[in-house]
Amino acid sequence: MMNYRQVTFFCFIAIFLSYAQSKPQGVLDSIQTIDVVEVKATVFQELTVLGQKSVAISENARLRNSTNFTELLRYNSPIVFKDFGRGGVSTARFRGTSATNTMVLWNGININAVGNGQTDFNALSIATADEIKIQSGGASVRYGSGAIGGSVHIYDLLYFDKHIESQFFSTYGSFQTTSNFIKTNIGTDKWAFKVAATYNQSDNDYTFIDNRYTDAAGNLLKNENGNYQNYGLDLSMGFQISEHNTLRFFTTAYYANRFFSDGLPNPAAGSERNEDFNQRNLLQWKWHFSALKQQVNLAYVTQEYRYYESKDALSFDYGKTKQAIASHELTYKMADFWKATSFLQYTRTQGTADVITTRTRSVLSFSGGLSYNNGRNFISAVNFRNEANSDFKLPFLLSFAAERKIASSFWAKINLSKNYRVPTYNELYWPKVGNLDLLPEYAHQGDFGFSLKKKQLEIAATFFYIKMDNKIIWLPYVDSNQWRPKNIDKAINKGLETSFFVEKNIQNATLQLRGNYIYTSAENTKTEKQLAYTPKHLLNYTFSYRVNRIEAYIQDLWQSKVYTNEIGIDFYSLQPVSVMNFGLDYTLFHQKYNKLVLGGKLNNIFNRVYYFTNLRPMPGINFSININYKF
Amino acid sequence: MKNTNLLLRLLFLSIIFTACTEDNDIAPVQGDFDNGIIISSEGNFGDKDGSVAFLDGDMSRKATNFIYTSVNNAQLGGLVQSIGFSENDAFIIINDAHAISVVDRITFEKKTIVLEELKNPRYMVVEGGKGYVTNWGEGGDPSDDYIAVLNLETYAVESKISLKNGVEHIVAKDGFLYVSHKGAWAEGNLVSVVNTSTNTVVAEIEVNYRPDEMFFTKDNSLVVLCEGSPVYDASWNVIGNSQASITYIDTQSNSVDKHVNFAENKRANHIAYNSDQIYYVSDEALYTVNTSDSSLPATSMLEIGSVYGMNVKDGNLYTVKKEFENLSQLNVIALEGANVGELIHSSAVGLGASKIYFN
Repeated sequence: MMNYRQVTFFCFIAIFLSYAQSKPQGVLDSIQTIDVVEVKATVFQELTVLGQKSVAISENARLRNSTNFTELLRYNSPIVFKDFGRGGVSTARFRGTSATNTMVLWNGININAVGNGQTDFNALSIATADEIKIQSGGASVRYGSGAIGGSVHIYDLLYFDKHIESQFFSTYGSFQTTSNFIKTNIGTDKWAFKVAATYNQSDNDYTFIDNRYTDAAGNLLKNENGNYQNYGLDLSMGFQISEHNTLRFFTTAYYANRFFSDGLPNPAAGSERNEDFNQRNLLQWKWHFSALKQQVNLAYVTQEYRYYESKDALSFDYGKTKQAIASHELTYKMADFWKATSFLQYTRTQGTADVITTRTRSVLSFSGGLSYNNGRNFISAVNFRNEANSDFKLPFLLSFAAERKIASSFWAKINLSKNYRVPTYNELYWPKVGNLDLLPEYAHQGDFGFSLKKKQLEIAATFFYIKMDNKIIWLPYVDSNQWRPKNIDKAINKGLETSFFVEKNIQNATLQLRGNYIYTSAENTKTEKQLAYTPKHLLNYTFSYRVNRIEAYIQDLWQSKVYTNEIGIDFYSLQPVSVMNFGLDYTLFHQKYNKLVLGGKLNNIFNRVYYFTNLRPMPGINFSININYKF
Repeated sequence: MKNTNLLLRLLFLSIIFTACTEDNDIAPVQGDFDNGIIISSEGNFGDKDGSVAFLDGDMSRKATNFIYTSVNNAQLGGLVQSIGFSENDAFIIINDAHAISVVDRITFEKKTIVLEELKNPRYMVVEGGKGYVTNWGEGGDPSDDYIAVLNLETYAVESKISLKNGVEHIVAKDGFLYVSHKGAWAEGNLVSVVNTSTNTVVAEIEVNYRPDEMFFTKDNSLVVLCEGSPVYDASWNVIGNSQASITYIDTQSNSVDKHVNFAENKRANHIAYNSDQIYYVSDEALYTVNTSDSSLPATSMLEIGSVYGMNVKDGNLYTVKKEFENLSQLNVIALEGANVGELIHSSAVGLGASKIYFN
């Protein structure tokens, strides 16, 4: 009896082979063929949390928004970002929760910064990743502390069959901006390798087109000291020891050197510089036999930042963290419909900063559950988590999820869970401001949704409800400019999250619309005000029109007004955002293993002034050209 | 056909979206902002949302908030540290943006913005037709503090005077500048004296730690509030305070005349002067002491709660309470007459209100 993984794997092989062997009827036919990558993606479907909504980020989207991760997700996911201008520090929020409630996982390993519990989406390169998935909703039972609003998953794929695939992508645009990557996947029946490198840089000296602000001579100001460069290197290899045993090793290194502009009214006021050094390693052993499946992960993750108050300074503030993770997952398929899983993970985190002496946190967690899948129209799961955390006492967590097929291609979904976030190192240990009395944040959450999935129509919608207790907020001390974190607020976030995809063929043209719309009411229960940086409405979509070799598309982003604090008056708000980009891709040739696409894009075609943080404007109209070569 | 429909629908949707979101509660104001009280608000650090409010002198109406933004359709764009005044102009000092927004002091219309040669500007005084602005330089660098000399015709910084670390308040009398060295990121204990005819430091007077606000008495004595430094335990809890005092400096000899000391571990954070009487706030209570006294009173005048800024004029006490989840509150309290202690007026003003000026 083959298990699910085998089925998927063989399906993939079958589809891949049929694709590979089908003799192209000419260029146009093969353009219509589905992308290989999308087929491989099914390998990871099992990682979807039951009863929740997830969005896969297509390769097309990634190439069209290649400047940084923030831009990619801003136009293609339900996440709201707060970035300090283009390329500046950028944090992500799902459903009106906070940046520390957004978990980023690399090949299943949590990579949020230990110091502040967040991920800076402009200090993370995803150019060389093979798959990116956005999972909305709480998943602490599976992923632990911080998986409250949702999670962002980045994967590298390694698969065993004879293949050599390479891709080269390069783009150049306004403000001397360039993003580049090259990657190669090579494999045999026994071995699989992936080598990839990326290099990104920008002078980023765009004009602040908000003409209410000028220098003393009346000239518009520029984004001074906002340049950046970063590079990353990935190396992965896999070895199929036997039919039942595979070994995979992933390693990646990333370096970024960024300067921070001060925005308006005086961009030159900032001369800060920041360096990031991130390194991650993961060894993965998968074994399956009969109804048993087992996975062992060993990971070692290091992160370091160096912050220079002035770019010319030699001295810097720093933070360094090391994380060692060992986990064991066992799945046992009982009877026909039942499956039991157990997941044991040990994480040892060591963190130090120029002002924090080394602190160590150990977490031993045991989670597991029972799931039922009748293979036709009903899936359900109950999961639990018990965690021994060296710094905090945490309760037993339980989650429940179910999906039921109501009609053809139409599923109703439910997910109920309790989630948490433990205070971060900075919140606890930062001198003068750290607060050792902090308690973990807790969230009781419910998702109720449906999904409709047909070949040319996909709609997913989820009502979400999050009741957040002990919310940690940084507040100034009375009579001083020192801010300290406190567990003060309760918040209730509720709303509707939807994603949609429609495709239509008309003669030889194909029209596509893909997007997300989210309504969020996130209220501090004490002040009864909408939480800061939480738009009530967020809509993004890409509309594309493809005829023969040419594909034209527009990308649109609408975000309603956000308040920058909870006072709730316009002075402390950012005006609604409406930005549109226009792009054109031209497929020069597309044969069996060769594809060359040239593209051009105009961003912010209406030259709108828009902000995601107060007085740190985004660029006006700007362009980029790109080349994407697969071979 | 269906495609055009779809496009139209999208367009329609976009119109609804933009239409729904156009509203603004900052009404345009054309004001004469004299004969009243100017309140500056720092805003939240890093949010670039400092602001200025105005309360008419007769206090019959609530304060008008965000006057700079209303008049100029733009924000100041940083932490409003303080405001300096010349005869015609107000100089709004934006600390983190290293900038000074120059406006007409009556209309608050923007004249220009000074962006050059300022680094963490703190306070400004006008003396002999020039502006003098204290600057920390980099907060953590003890050797780059200075006074920027601002030409009031060109609004350009024409020279700099180097000073010791942690320059803060600045006052002037008869061609001399007096600068308190609160210490920036460190702890200071000096008052520097600068001769404006030579732009040189002529005296450095040692006082107690954290000298902050200053003013001159009627007989030309310089009064300095020395707040004292907090004393921390190993886990950074405040467990005490070094000696705090109200210190009197003889401006003829540039030497300390007397220290009027606070009790052990006591301090004041705010001080104001009105016709020989000094008012200060300590532990959320208002005290008053005469300049001729050599010790501080044991009993307070009023309980006034936590304040972040204060001033006194014509028998009234003006305080602002710093709030971060709400607007700050400006309170006006009577200090004289039959209704001593009575709240005469109260208005909501911008987040992080800190300074009160009489215009």
